[in-house]
Amino acid sequence: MRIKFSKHGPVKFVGHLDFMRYFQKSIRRAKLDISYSEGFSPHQIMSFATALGVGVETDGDYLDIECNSVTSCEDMKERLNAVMAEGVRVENVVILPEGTPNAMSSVAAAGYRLYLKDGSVFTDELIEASARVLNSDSIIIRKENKKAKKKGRAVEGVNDYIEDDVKDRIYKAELTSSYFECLVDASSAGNVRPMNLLELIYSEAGEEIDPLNVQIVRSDLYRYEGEELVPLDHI
Amino acid sequence: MNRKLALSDDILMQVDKPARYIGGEINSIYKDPDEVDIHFVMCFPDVYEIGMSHIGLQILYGMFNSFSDTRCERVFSPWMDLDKIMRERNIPLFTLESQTKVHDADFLGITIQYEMCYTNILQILDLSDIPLHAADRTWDDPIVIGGGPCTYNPEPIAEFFDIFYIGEGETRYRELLDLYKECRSEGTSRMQFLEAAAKIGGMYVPMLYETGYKDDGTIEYFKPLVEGIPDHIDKEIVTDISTAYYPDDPIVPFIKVTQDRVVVEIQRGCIRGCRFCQAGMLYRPVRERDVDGLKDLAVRLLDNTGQEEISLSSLSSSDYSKLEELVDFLIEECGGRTVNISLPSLRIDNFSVDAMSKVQDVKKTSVTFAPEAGSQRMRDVINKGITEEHILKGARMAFEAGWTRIKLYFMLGLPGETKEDIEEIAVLSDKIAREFFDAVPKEKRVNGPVQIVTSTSFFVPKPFTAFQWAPQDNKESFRDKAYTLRQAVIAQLNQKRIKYNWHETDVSVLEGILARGDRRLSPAIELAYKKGCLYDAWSDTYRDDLWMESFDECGIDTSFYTTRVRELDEIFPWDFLSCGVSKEYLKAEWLRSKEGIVTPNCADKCNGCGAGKYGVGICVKSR
Repeated sequence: MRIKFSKHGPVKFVGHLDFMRYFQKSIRRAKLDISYSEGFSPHQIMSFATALGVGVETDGDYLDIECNSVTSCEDMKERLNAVMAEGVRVENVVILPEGTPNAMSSVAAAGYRLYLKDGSVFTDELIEASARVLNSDSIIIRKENKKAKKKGRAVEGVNDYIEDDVKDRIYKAELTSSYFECLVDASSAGNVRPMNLLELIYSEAGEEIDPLNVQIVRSDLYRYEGEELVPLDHI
Repeated sequence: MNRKLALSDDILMQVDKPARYIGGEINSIYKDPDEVDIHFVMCFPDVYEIGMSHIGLQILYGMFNSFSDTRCERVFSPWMDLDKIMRERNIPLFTLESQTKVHDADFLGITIQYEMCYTNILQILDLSDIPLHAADRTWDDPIVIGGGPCTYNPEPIAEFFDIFYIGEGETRYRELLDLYKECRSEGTSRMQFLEAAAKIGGMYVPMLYETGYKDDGTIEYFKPLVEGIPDHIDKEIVTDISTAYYPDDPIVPFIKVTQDRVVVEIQRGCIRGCRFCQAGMLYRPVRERDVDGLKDLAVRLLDNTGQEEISLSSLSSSDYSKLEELVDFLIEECGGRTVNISLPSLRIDNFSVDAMSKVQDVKKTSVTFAPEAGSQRMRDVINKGITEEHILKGARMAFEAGWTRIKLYFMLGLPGETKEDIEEIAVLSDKIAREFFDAVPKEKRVNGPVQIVTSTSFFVPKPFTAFQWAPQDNKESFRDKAYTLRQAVIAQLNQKRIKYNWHETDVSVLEGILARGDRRLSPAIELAYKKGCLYDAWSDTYRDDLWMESFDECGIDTSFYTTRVRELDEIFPWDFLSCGVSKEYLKAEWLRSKEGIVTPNCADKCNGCGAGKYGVGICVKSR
């Protein structure tokens, strides 16, 4: 079974590991017939598509579970929603055909929507800057070279930062006065962080960004169906 | 419902474990303020993970919320990082459910489980803008009421509380809340309300009493300042524990808490009468819950929470008469649900070894014994009715069942202890190791050799025990004893199989000062808090230097409270309270301990301790 859920409000401060354990308990409360692993300390056979950072909300994240028996997708969705906490909702439940790769390995892209928490808008200067940034031939994200720094081999100005051209991994991106929306690579090798893009735009416009004032909302997770990107619950 | 959080996102993103402060957990209760008359805030004065592990809090939370005219919310101590921010930005302390000011509540109930939380109590009051001294409060401030075991000597913190509730919380709150409603609607003064409250059973209102001291510093008198209030307060006790309120839908925390499981309290009280144990005396007499009710409760608890582990809680679970039946039921029920069972506080015998091997992985867990003393002589002094034969036999059973890890708990500094007694701890640990090699042939040692972890804590004499007259050992002596034991362990044949851990000495001394303290300690506690002492129960944050400085600046000789020998006829700060067990009985036990005479347990014989006056539990059962 693949379960699509949303997470909004105060519960966004529950980190991924805690959230997994919360879901395990919810499944028990809902009395779903989930399968357990063998051995002396059995655990539920469950895997999340990807982790959600603390403070990040989602309209659509996913987890897969293996069940011994199922009733109907509607029934399972209802039973889960009857025991959900404030701010968490099960949006969809689908049965996965035999042999479907698990959620984690399927994730190819993610959609995001970012907005300013204090209700302010993105300025015209920012919107103009975004057009320049997003339309240029290359979009460079500077990342700290953690590996070199860890080994004590980081040389300032030489290899302390890695430059990553993410142009090809941004499939859609637009800044309006209310939102910054984008669809980007979310695979483990090529993951693009939307905050990095927004920081680039602010930097181009010469404005200061307050990351703590930006709310990140994941709008959905996508996999490849042939050449096309489809939501993870599109079976 | 869209709750607005008290803390802004930028603060929550900066602090450790922000989920501590958001509320909204499964089974947390949010009532519309307009639909209730009383707003009660329940507080455990430590961080969320500790407070949410306390079953008492869950019981009272559920009980208050079951009253249709009351809404009960929770508050815990903000961790050090948030405490700093709240002071810098003037953010008032808030409740978890509605995220509104604690200051606006009608009652602030604080459960006081150990002495090391006293500075945290002041933190809660301070951050809530409630005057620290009860005498300075007005109707603008909540009624601050304390409960729990430390209320049996509340005197060091008496200045900070409006009321102490002595005894079990299930009995008198309804009466208190009704009185409160009456007084508020009639416009009586806060002091008049407190005077009326002092007449309710189990309620101690410190402001209405006065203590006088003799020249030698001991207590001369303790007397009420107004007419009509009792000069002696007896504890409250639940008479029919099987029907008393117990929540079947406790709150399920989002984050990992210390006790991350549902807890079933199977009985209250204990028959054993170990002379160092305060809880055993305070909760007398033992009262068992009906086993069928417990089975039903266990099922509902698991259904309503979805928790993965269930635990049976009591002071000495092996003494619960229907334990076998209950455990067999649980093993079957939990097996079907893939739920773990935790069985602490068990004597190690045939039944428990069998049960534990069914519910625990013998390869990964350990078996715990608490002999408390190394020699039989000392065990008789403390009335811990367990012999070396019992211990070795139990250990052998555990080894034969497949366990290789044994945990042993002892105390150092018990009254009358000699060097030989201490060395016996090492000898006993070694004997247990030898038992392993004897019981388990080489080819069966598949889980490696035996590993014994011997831990000692430092004895703190407590009020309402036979040892309340005993002098506490001093810091240097504690250290010497720990060293002696360490040397003794190294000298054992199987010393490589024994690991010795010892508890902090400094904090044990502070515990000793506060446990048998009086009202003259309040200024020192307040000063220590103002100097920055907080989270004293945590070794990382405990500041012994600031505490000792505070006692010094207040002109307090701490040895008066710790190492001084008490006279038999001395009046103690807690003598005006009663837990059922008479002072005469405790005195007799103290004298018997000096002769090493053992007192039988309640199941074997009634020794007339005084708790029989309640007419409940084991006191009224035929033997």
